[in-house]
Amino acid sequence: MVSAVALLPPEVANQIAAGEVVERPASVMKELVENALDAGATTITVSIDGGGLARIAVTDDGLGMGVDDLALALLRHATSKIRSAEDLVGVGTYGFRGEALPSIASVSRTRVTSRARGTAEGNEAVVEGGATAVLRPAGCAEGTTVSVEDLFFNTPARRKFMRTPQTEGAACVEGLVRLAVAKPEVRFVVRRDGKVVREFLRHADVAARVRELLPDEPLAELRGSRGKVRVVALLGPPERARSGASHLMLYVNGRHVKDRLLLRAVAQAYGSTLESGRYPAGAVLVEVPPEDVDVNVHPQKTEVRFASQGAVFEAVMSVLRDAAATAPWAHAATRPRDFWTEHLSPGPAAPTHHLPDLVSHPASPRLEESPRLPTEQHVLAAFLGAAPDATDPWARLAAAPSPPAGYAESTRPSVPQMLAEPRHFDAGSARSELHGSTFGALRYVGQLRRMFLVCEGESGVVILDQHAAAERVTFERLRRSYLARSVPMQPLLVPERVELAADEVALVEERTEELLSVGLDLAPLGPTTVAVRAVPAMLLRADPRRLARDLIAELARQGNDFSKAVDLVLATMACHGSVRGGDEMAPEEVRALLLALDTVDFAGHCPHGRPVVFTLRWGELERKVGR
Amino acid sequence: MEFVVNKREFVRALSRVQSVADKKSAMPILTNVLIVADASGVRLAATDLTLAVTAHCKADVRKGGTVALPARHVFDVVKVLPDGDVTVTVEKNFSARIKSGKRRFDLSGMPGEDFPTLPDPSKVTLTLIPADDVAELIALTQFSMSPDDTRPHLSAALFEMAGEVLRVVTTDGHRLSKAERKISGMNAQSKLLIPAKAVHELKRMVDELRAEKKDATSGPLTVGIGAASSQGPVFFQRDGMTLSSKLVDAAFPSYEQVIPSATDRTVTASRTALLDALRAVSLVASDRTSGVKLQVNSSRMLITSENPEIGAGSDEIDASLQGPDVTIGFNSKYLTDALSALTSEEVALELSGELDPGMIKPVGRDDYLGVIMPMRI
Ligand SMILES: Nc1ncnc2c1ncn2[C@@H]1O[C@H](COP(=O)(O)OP(=O)(O)OP(=O)(O)O)[C@@H](O)[C@H]1O
Ligand SMILES: [Mg+2]
Repeated sequence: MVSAVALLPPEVANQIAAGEVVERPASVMKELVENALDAGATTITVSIDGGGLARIAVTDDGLGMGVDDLALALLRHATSKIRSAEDLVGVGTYGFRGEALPSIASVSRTRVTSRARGTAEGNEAVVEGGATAVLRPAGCAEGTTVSVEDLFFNTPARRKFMRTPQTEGAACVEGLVRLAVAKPEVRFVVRRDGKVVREFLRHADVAARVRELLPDEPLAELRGSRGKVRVVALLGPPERARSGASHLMLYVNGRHVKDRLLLRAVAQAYGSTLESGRYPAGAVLVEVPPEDVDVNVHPQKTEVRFASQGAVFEAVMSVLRDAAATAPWAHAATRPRDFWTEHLSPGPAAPTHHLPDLVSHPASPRLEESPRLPTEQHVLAAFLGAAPDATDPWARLAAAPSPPAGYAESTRPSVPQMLAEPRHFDAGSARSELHGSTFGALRYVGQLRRMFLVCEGESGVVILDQHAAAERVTFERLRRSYLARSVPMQPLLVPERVELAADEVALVEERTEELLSVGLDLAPLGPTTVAVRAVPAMLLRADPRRLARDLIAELARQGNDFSKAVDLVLATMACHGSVRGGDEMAPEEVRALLLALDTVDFAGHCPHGRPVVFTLRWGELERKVGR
Repeated sequence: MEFVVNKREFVRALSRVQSVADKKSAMPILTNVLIVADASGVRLAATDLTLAVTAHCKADVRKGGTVALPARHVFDVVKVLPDGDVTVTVEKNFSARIKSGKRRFDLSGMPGEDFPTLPDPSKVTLTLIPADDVAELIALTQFSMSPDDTRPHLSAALFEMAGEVLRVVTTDGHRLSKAERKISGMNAQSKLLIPAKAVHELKRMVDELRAEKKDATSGPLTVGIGAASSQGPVFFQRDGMTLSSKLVDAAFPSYEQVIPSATDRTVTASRTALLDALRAVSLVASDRTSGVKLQVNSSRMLITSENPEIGAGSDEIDASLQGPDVTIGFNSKYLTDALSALTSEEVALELSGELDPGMIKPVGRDDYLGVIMPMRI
């Protein structure tokens, strides 16, 4: 019998590795740029043609490779960056596996041209689909160019998973933005289909780079350290927080990571000014001693493991919280005395009347076309624990009880958590809480904390979460009209401009039809701007910009299949269009809500469903008071 | 501090300010009214830091001074005092004794110095505008301010003074109202974006003024309007009362561009008949969208509404149409809000395509114009 176990031929091994390392053009771009950064480049040019599926080329002015290194570079586990397993501890370069180049070369036509610094002649290596490299001398400048053509040409199954060139290309640009944050001293040039589309200049520090990358965000610079943990953050104000963490970039020792722990630290530092599931835009860079963090836990190196999670969490949270007190958006929290001072003299004067002496004000510059950001005077008041204003939605949130402090007990669900655990909202929970009765039969008693509706039912005290209940009803209505293909839309008089990330705009382009089917009319205006032209008529009270932002973020998280994403999209919309915790509700509104709840098909789908209703049974109540 | 004041006057002044005091504020001082007694009488003030009101009342001031007292409580206790003279005495520890006849209350207060400094209108030139005009302009526009205060530029009214014209424009993003009045003798140029809350307080002020002085023959009632600078604050003043507000620091949409310069069709109908039909038919429209469809030919308008959860309804009214037949959907509330604010006999709907903005105007007057985006039903 022939032995069944055999070593895989190297091309196959490389293709398997490629499956992990190279997911889409953006991951190729990331590996190539990281190599260029490891080689000490000061200028890196990234060219993306046909969304990176046709060609990605990265040119750097770094150390370059001699002919021997060049041959080795394309072999699996050939790396110049570590020599032994011990070196993995405290690794200071992006690369350490010697896996990226051979993986990429195995699923594309790859050409590496390089000239080592201080040498006279360059060389070129060409690999097609992981075959053996062909080397020859070539004329080139000092540094390296890696050009990757026809990605996945030999793995058609993978190629099928690629989105439109528009989307893939935009994802490359977003990926580069994430890399650029940690390397302000390097200049980046991005070309798409031959045209320079972005350029990031050299900066002395991270802050300047992040501001360059997020020009529209009013960022506050927050710095500090606790023990061995140093934190630099540039973060936007809570009222501009986005649904989900897609606009919050996290770094550990210069490496972009996705890390729930850090997300939670940010959320907790913002405290109750941040609605759950929302995160500010910006970047948080954390430095820890290299030996205290393991970077080798994820094929794309997007995760890290801290030796001491609690300490890192505490450090980041407390630095951000304390530093936030000086954030520019915090200026709102002026003492009341100073408030009107720009214009006045002390003490209210006796009212006097003037003759209609004609006021002549020059036409005020107030009416301009591009809407400016409102300077929210009291947004951060609550953030700082100072006086919240009743008209300020943040203050209302702040007035709501905040989750218990402390990392371990933190109850704020992170976004991934929320999505992973659909809240139990099925026929079982909601209806059975009523023990056979209907919502319409309940006697409404009153509102508690502007959050809960208390009713008397046959079997006990019935308590409803007003937001969850209203959201559920709106969701049901939206879903019904979506299924009937008739979501009434209310166009805007003046379309609202929304700034999004480039890949999000590409997503809008790709999904215009589907978005229309849920009642949202979005039209791309530029590489990072879309116009909201109409919103679902059911959601008139929602802010169109926030609605669009959240919806796109949700859609981006859901990936390819719109029909699967649609319930979450509708749930996001329902959340926007519904009464919130903190809203006063008139008894008639409560009645209408209760009646509407009876029409809800609880057995239906469950969006981000939290339990809506809870019954405290009479028997239980009587036992409690010892009857 | 000590003064004697007529109970009715004191109650009136208190009622003018107490609604502005911020009952829910976490800054305790803002839940108070400031009371200042000096040679000119007694002044009361309250503020929520966006809006401030001061009211004046005549009083026999025996000893000047200032104190801040909890707004809700002072108002409640003064209201239940017997008619006649009320004596207010404040001790060093800021506790106030309020007394009339045998009934008396002691309320503990805070030093008046802790109260925020309020904007001072004394150096601001105010333009006098007839109260009726202000009231009507607000009535014609306030319904299209956005209730959503997270978008302050839409939750506001633009007051525009251009020569002899005072114009008020509001929009919630889906519809727009523009009303104007000629104020003879006025010659001002300014644009002030006034937060909704201040507009509501201004409305209260002019309504009260008009109700009070209905029978008085002392000439036209006016309110003074003026701003300290183009950044604000803005002042509204009547005898014995000043309202001041910060301006909204955001750009108002350039409304001229939103108003269609020409339309293909003009529908004319009786205002009350249309209003009545819309109210009736929209009873079965979804309470969330209030969508109704208008089908117009040369002599009739058919109004229909359909809602899978409830049923359907329709009505027909006389109408005349210039231009080709048209079918168009609207949020009925947008139409009924405007129709019920107008007073003309007839209204004109000026329409183009079913996706193009429509206009609503009173027939025979050109002082109001509403723009409404149709609904895609
Ligand atoms: N732009 C470049 N300039 C100079 N040397 C390079 C460049 N790109 C690759 N190399 C060399 O080729 C080697 C292999 O690169 P590759 O990306 O495959 O592995 P790595 O960076 O060491 O590890 P990883 O797989 O974690 O990225 C590197 O160790 C480096 O010596
Ligand atoms: Mg590498």
